[in-house]
Amino acid sequence: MRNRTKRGRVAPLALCWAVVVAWGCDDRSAAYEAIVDGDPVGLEGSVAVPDARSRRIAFVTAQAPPGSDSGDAVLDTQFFRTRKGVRAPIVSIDRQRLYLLSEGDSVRVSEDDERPALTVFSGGTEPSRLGVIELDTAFDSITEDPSGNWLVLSNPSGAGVSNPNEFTLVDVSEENLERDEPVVENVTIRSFGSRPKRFTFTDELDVPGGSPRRFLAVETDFDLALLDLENLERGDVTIPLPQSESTGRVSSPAQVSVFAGSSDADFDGLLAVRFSDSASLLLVGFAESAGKPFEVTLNLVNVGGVPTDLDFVETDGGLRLAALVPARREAVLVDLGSTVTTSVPLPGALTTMRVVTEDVFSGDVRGDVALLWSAQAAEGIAFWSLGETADRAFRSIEGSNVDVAVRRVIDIPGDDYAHRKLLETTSSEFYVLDLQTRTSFPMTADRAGLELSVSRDGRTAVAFAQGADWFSTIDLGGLHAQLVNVERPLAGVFDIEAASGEPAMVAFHRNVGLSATLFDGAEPDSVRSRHFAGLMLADLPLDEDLDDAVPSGVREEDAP
Amino acid sequence: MRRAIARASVLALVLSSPAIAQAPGGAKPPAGKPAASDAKAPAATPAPSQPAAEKPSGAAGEEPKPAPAAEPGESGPPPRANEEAPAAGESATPSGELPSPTGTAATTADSAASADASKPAGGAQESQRAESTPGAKPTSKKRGPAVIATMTVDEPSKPEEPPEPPGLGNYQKHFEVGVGFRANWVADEGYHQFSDDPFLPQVAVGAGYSFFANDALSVAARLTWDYGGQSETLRGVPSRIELHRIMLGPSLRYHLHRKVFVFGTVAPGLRASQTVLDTGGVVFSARQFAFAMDLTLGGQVELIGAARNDVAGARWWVGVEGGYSVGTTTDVVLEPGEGTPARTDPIVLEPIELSGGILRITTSVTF
Repeated sequence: MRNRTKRGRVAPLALCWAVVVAWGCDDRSAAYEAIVDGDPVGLEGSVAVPDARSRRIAFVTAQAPPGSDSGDAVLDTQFFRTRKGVRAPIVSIDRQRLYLLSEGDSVRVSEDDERPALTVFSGGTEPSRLGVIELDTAFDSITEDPSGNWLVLSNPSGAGVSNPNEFTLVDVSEENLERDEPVVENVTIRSFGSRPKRFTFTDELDVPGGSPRRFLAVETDFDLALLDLENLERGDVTIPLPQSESTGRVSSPAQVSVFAGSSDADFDGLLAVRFSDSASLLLVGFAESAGKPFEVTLNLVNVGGVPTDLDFVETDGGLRLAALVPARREAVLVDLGSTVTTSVPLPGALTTMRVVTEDVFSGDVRGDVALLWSAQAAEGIAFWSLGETADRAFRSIEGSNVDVAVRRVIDIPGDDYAHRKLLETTSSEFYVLDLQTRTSFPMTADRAGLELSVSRDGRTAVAFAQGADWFSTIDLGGLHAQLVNVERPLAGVFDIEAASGEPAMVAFHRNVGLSATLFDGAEPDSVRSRHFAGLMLADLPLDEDLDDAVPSGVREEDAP
Repeated sequence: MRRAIARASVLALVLSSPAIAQAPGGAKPPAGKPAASDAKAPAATPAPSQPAAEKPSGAAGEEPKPAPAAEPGESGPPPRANEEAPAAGESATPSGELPSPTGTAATTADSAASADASKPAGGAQESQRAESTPGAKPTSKKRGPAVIATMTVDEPSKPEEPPEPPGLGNYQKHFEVGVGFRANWVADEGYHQFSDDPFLPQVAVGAGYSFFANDALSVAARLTWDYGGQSETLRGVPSRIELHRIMLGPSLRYHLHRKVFVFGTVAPGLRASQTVLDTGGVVFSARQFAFAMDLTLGGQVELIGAARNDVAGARWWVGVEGGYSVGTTTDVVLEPGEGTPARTDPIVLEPIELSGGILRITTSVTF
């Protein structure tokens, strides 16, 4: 009896202790286990670092560059919660915004479960979430309207049945984002068995008998759909495509080029379509139509071979459609009125062209200037003076001795050095090309795979390689290359605007965890840099269940 | 003892009789002249004495005389018969004329008493026999006074063990030192930056002294030092924490049995921790100091020790205690260490607060 009484006293105490201990036995937060695997992306005034495993995104901003009197040289990190199943972020063309698609809960059984959504962030010096637009369908792809008004969300994903010909047009103007229920247009284009491949927003096109209007050109597997953005309810105009001469099947579109039309031109708005397996080009024009805003006119032009690029150009003979046919080592000019073609020999099998007239000349000029290069092989580069095509077309193209495969041509913003271009290559060198003097300056490095970027003011270029412990800045005026050492392997270098308004440069490192070094954007110097480690260790969402935070298609073992 | 005194008296009587009070070798000291006056009587060879300290100090009865210190070489050469006299002093009468038939030494009453006194307490008293058989060889090589009679001293009865003092004695009041294992269960998210699970193992070292006792209750002061740590990765970055905890506080004990007691302890103290992040060879670290306090209940059982509560000596105990540890929250601002790139800013992590349940298992020695 006495023992029983003792046990009666001890048992509650032991129970209390067990409760206390059990109360203390919380599992470790999943946020502590989550690896930071998102790649930083540069914006105008910040660098965004997706942290999908912790279901958030970080915006790193600089108060002021080192050595500045207007503020502390400090990197601030601001975190925003993101939804479940985020896709890779997309930076707007003007680097002012960041778009983030999310899949939401794969199984929705309650109102609290997340829907698919598009989240829009401001990427300035004071990052903010501009809006969240909930969607009915999860999408994987974003195409941005260069004017910044629209987004096309396409390539639906997720469980269940999806309609590949359905896409969503989202008005991302600030007015729409501020609404409680932003305007979202779900569009299904007419299909004959195909599905969309590519979207092209046109400028405002002159349309006969009507006001200028913008179109969305949708390339599918074997047709072209035009959607009037001024009147979405009208539906799309589907344009059948010609058969390929080589395969006998319907040609597959590869590119759409747009001519907006102008008051001093003889042509209204025009579209030109090239195909991946046909020597023909399709010209799409607009004509008045009774009872309809417009009707479409079609014309086919054979350029003698499968073109790899095309564009509308101004020549001394008027507006022409230029196409590159590397298989024949020819450039072809198409007279849009008569569809007569003029071939111009190329110095090599050049595949790509870009009209650079505005970067070379100011004011009125007789014709455009185009830069030609090859992305596939070391075929060199060439300058095409289109103001000399009327009677000396064969002499209008001037080759260069630069024999490299050009991976990317980078424009220089601003007015000071816009006449220069950076030619990024796949080798250990790159070129600074001067379009006015038609000179090209090689820049060599001790390793291949250099990534190039240009500062926002267009005065400095930055070259670095992933994992290197240095980057170089190139003064685009004097072309002086300056080595900047960093003490951790590089994952990216970004030029951003500091809160003080001064330029700042942020180098990101992915060694053990993610860290960053802040430099003066005007004169990057290791001596005056500041290093910030553990950027992604603060403000973790410790209470959240992050089990399903890993993005779709990413396996745990893929984590670095 | 009284019987011993009686036996010594009898022996004295025997020795003082003319029949046995005879010096060996036919020496005839002048009558009436004490033998000790001109004879160099050696001091009676004492029996090997036991340290007096071995005798229970609180034993009842008269205090025995300590035996004279007896060094092995002090006994000296055996006395010759013509110059030796019984060392019994006044008891040995010179009137004895009988020659001693043997040279066997006889003990005197005093030496017998000394021998008695030298016996360990409670031990069997060695019987002493002096044989006077004619022609018999002496049993001892030592030569002494002539023995003319055989004397047997009876075995005395064992002295009674002194009673144990009242109370729990040194079961309760003692110094204590111990080592053990301490486990914390910490729920704090800040701590989890450095550990995968809430378990925080520590080594525990302690000392104490029970300075007050009343019946089954006692109060001890306990000083403990705990050391432990954990390591983990924080978002892929190796992290670790080490901590020291020093506590000093009273422990209230209650003896359920002399070998078993339960206790409750309130131990405030200081917690010092070091947190470390290793960002790829560059180490960031920070030290935190915080107030901490353990509130525990437990029990302790003696496994090995003397039965009596008044016997000096070590006792071996094992104990277990459980409870809750509270502590203040400390910020974690990790400063770059050596080898860090210059101009590196500190890393700020979640603050840590190491409160939670505790369990301590110790083994200790009291004395």
